[in-house]
Amino acid sequence: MLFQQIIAGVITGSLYAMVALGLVIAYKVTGVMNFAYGYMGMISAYIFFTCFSMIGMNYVFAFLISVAFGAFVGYAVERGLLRPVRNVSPASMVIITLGLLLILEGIALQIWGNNYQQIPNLLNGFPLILKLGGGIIVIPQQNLLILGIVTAVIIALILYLNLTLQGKAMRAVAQNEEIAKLMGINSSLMMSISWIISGAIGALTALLVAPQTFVYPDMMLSLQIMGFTAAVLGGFESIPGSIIGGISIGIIENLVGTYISTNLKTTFSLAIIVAILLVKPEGLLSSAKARRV
Amino acid sequence: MATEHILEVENLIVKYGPIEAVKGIDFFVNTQEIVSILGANGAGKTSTLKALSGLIPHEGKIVFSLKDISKMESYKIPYLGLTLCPERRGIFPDLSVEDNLLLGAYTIRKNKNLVRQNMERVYGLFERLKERKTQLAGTLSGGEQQMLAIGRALMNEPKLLMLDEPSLGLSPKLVDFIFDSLKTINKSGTSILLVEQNAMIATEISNRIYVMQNGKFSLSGNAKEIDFQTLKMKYLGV
Repeated sequence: MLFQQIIAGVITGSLYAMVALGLVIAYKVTGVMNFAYGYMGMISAYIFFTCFSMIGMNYVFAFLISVAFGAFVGYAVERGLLRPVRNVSPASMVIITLGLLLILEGIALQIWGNNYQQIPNLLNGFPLILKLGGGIIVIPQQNLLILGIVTAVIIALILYLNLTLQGKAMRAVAQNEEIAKLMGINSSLMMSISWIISGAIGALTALLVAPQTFVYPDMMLSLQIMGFTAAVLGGFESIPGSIIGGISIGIIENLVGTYISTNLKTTFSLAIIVAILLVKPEGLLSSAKARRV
Repeated sequence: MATEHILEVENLIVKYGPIEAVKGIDFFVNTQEIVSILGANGAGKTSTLKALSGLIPHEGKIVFSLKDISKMESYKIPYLGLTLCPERRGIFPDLSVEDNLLLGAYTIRKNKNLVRQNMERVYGLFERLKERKTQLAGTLSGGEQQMLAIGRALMNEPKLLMLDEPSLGLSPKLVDFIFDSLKTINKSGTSILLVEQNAMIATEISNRIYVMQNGKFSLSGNAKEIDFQTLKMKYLGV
């Protein structure tokens, strides 16, 4: 029972980690906290619904189109909406992204209505059953798929940022845009790329979770809140922090839901997180940097 | 002849809102020269360098290597061989020493052999950097950070290297070492435009100097011919 809940927590948590990663990469490079993030992903879930359920495209093909569309939405939002107002105060920026959230919600309502639309799992085969310490753990294939994709995305992102010159250039822009330009780095391009990556991750997350949540305009609300919390818990600047933050929240939430109260699941987990942040306000992983000035 | 001027600046003006930081200056740098712009804090020296690199809005004409770069986007300028070495806080603290150097070679990234060759050259010049290549740049000492900033600026083989206060916050011994390195860099064919508060050491290695006060040049000339007493009077007589 305990192991089953921990595994379930890791799966939910890996989705939180994805949201946190997408938020953090855009924040680090452009300095924008994107409160519309989940809703950008929601649009991609509708694109999938349209391509797969309405037009009848192949599942994988529709999936790829929707992720590409998410990447495009990320690019368009940064380029068209945020870059022209780059120099407004952080508070105004929050209002702008919250405004975008409402616009995206409105667009979805106008085009697709507010019915809950169902989309199937990609993998529906026999679940994986593990025997462990006297109990059994059942993991549906779709959850294995989620775990596999999330792991692949995390590894790809870490390799990209640490081993490729473009990834290093992106980190350079995140640290000091002016100096990065002196190196000959096109910082505007790096900002676009960071939002393209962020947009694709958001779309991917929405598509992975859609079979469970159904597709509707507010489908990403709780994922977005928990993803934000995960990012904050990780320090909002750290990629490993986002991953650890996301997975810990997923596990805490599932354990609270099982052993304390399902109704209090969210409240209680957020209370635990507030308690952690009271003790360690800079987040779990943000203090480890040595710096001499 | 004008073709000897690797850099030529006409009537450069930099404004921050209503305040004029640089009030219409003219100057040039010849190929192979070391030229210094001297002046106290707030005289407009750093603004001049930032304008030359395209980082801040400015008026006037800037010609580098016979090319008008007055309106060029900042990230395109280092591709021409004009590189600014910012003051030492301008390194990337959360990247390793080696990654900082690799980013210095961003404009020549397609030529992997040249990048490796230049890195060896920089490590030859500053051995300390080689010892610390895997360390995060933010953990280096002040002198090492300055070496890293200069080394990084050399990675794309600039024709003209501009340096912002390379002596800032360093011990006299390290200042000597850094300025000796600048002489070596110059001898190997790189022209240098230096901005400094430390007038004495800058005059020592320069061919020509300009003294800047309140956004204008109050004195300029051949470094060997300038009487240091006059320089001090002018320089200190703000």
